Order: sequence, then structure tokens, then C-alpha cells
Amino acid sequence: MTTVSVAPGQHLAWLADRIARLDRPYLITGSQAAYQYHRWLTPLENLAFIQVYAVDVLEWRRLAGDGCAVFETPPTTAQVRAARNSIVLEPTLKPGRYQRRQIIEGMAFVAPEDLCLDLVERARGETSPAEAAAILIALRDTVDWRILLAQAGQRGLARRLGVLIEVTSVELGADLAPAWFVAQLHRLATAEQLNSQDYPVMRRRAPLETYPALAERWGVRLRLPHHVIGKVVLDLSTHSRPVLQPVGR
Amino acid sequence: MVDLLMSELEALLNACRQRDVTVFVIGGFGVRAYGSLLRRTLDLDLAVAATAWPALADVLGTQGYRLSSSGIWVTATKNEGAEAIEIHIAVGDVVDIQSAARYPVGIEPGDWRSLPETSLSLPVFTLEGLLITKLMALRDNDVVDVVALLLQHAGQMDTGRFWKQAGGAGLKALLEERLADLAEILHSEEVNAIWWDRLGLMLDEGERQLALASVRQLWMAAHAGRWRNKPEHD
Repeated sequence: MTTVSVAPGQHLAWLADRIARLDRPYLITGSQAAYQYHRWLTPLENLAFIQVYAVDVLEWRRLAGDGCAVFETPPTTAQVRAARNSIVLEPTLKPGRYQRRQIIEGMAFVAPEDLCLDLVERARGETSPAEAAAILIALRDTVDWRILLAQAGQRGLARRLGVLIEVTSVELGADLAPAWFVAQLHRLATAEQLNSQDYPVMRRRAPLETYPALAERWGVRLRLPHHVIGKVVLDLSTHSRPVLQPVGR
Repeated sequence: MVDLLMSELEALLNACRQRDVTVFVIGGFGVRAYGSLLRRTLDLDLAVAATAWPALADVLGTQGYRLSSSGIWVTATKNEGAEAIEIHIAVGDVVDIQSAARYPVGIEPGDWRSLPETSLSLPVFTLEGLLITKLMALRDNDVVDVVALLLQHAGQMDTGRFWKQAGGAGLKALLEERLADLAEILHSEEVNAIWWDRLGLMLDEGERQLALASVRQLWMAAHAGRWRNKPEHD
């Protein structure tokens, strides 16, 4: 567990108040956690994704009421709009993940390494890869590359993480990750089963293999237009300079 | 950062008003002015007609911004303490890098809209102009924005104005293509993938049908009597 001092801001006050009523382990994940780390793409203020232990779900359901809706499957936009606040429960919390949590102003957030891999795994469009890249750019000096490597290997995400990191380096014009990390990740990737699916999936209009050499090196059918990571680099180079300096090795 | 951007934007708009410079707020803040409270990046985008650019450049200089040109836009930068503020300004045309399509700022009549949850009133593109610039690019965030705008303002959309402005910009053929693409995205599972990936939410089936009906309405306005041929998504 790590404690950091960057405040999540007033927009999570409604959630802090409710969570305080239950003495159960949880992690704030999704867009709220991502924004906490990258400060790039704002979350919907009245919506939070909370990962909890499956055995605790009944307890967490008790948070519903007083204008707060609790969902256990992804709600529709209309359902979220109808409630003052919404919590989406994900009953998939595991002890190792909970141990790696970050405590920010008394609230437990998923570790950036785990969140980055969640985003790499869940990608169905342009936003998730962009947010994963944004987290790594914003936290490049503090991210625990060893944890990221170990978890990417365990979750079978070495190919997808590897290509995303190298694509981001291309757009940055500098190495995002240390060379030892990329080399070891590539070794894990070569042992990983090849996947014939496009990455991200469902991208009908996106060009296939925009970065052909990187796609081939990592064995990924990449459908990621240049503007996706290019926009992240452009935006973050303003707010968190200097992005364009190589990291230490 | 949001507060800083808001105060900078307010100061800049006041200075423009005093100098009688017509400028439009586009991008995330422009969409927000239409009541769409979806996820946003914290960048500030403006558009100005070529004839008004020298006056706006002067205003920006007075406000302490440094200007640099990157081809399709001018970037105005200044440091406020530890924070850096960067404004991207489309001069003359709003350009989509991928297609090289251009929407001339000079043909945009513009509108004033209040930014929700603030006292700020912004000079923005008309709903139709905003839809045109979003459809030109049609990246994932544009798909989400267009669908949200159509759901919120379906009844207020002026299809005649949309095609008049599109025609004036020489974008009619491109926008017909984009509307057909969007109809296909809305008809297929792709819209759910884009929506979920961006928001973590599902698009309600009724909302999906409503957005599709609005897209069809736009397309039909340009193809009265020819709708049977394309796009076929019933």
C-alpha cells in the first residue's frame, strides 16, 4: 500500500461520505482512478466504479438510497442521468491487487500499474489505450516498472502493453519506459500466445497496423490511428512538462 | 487546472469583447456549452476568421501569451505559476488533420450559450456548425459528442441550416459519407463499444434509435426522395 498526497478533489466527497459508512475493503477504479493519475480526461463527476470482494457485495448494496443508485452491471447513460450519484460495483477484487492500492486523502485507489493493465485489457475503442498511455506518461518517473512487468506477464498482456508503450515512445520522440523493462516485456510477449483479433477490437474504420514495424515486433493486429496517442502527448506536454525528455535507464 | 482555464477564458473573452473581436470557443468547452457533460480533456480551443486574427493576436499578446504556428493552428502559451496554459486557435478554417477537410470560420453565424454550472456565457458555433466539425473528424470522442448532441438537441436541429453551412464549406459530399458511416456505427455494435470504452456505460437502446433517427433525418434532408438507396439500416 502506498500513500500519496495528491487530493482527489471535492468531486469525490459524495463517495467518501458513503464509503465511510462501510468498513469493507474496496478500490476506486475506472475513470475516477484514471483521472487521479493522469489529470487528462475528466471523469463523470457523479459516477464511480468500485472494485470489491465478491463476498461483500450484499454489504455494498446497502449504499443505495438517498439519490445514489448502485449497479452490478454497466448501467446505461439514461440510468446514470436519472440518479444524483451512481456506483458501479465490480465484485472482482483480489488480495494482491488490494495490497498494491494507493491511499489518497483516505480513499483507496487501484494502483496505477493495475489500472494501466485494466485499460490495456478492456480496450474496445480509442479511449482506453489513450488513458493507459496518459497514466504512464504522467507517472513515468514513479511507476513501479517491476510490478507492471510481473502483472503484464501474469495477465497475458505483454504483447498489447508492449506495443502501446513503443507506440507512445514514437509519438513522444523519446523512450517512455526503461530499456530493461521493454526487453524483458518483449521476452514475455514472445512466450505469449498470438491473438488473431484486432487490437483494439471493433474498430471498423481505423486503419490496420498504423505502426507496421511495431505491430509486427509485438505480434499484434494493431488498429490505432496516430491521433489517439498523439493527442495525449500533445495535451500532456502542456500540463506536465517536460514530457519530451528521455527517462533514466 | 479547470478553474485556471475558466478564469483565463473569461479574461480573454472580456478582452475580445472590448476590442470587438469575434472569436468562437470550440472543442470540449464548445460542446459543454450545449449541455453535454461527458468526459473532457482540459484543453482550450478557439476559432477565429482570418480577417479577425490580427486583432485576436494583439489581444493574446496583451494578455501575456506567446504565439507559435504549427501549420493547421496557432498555439498561444503562457505560464501561470507552476501551470502552463495552452490555447489552440484555428485561424480561418477548422481543419481535420486526417481528411484535410476545412470548415471556414467566416461562414459560421455563431451563437451564445451559457456554460452549465457557471455564470460564463460563451460565443460558440451553432449546433449545426458544431455537428459539422465533429462529423468531419468522426473519431471516437466525436462519435460520443455527436450522439450526445443529437440526443439532447434533436428537436432543435435545423437541417436546412446544416446543409446550407455544409454546402458553403464545400463539405456536402464528405458529410454525406460521414453520416452514412455514423448510421453504420449506430446500427452495429460499434457504437456500444465506443460508448463503453469512453464512459464505462452502455447506450440505452431507445437513445441509440433516437440518434439513428436524427442521423437519418439529416441524411434525408440532403437526399429527399433518395433515402431508399442509402444507408440501409432498417
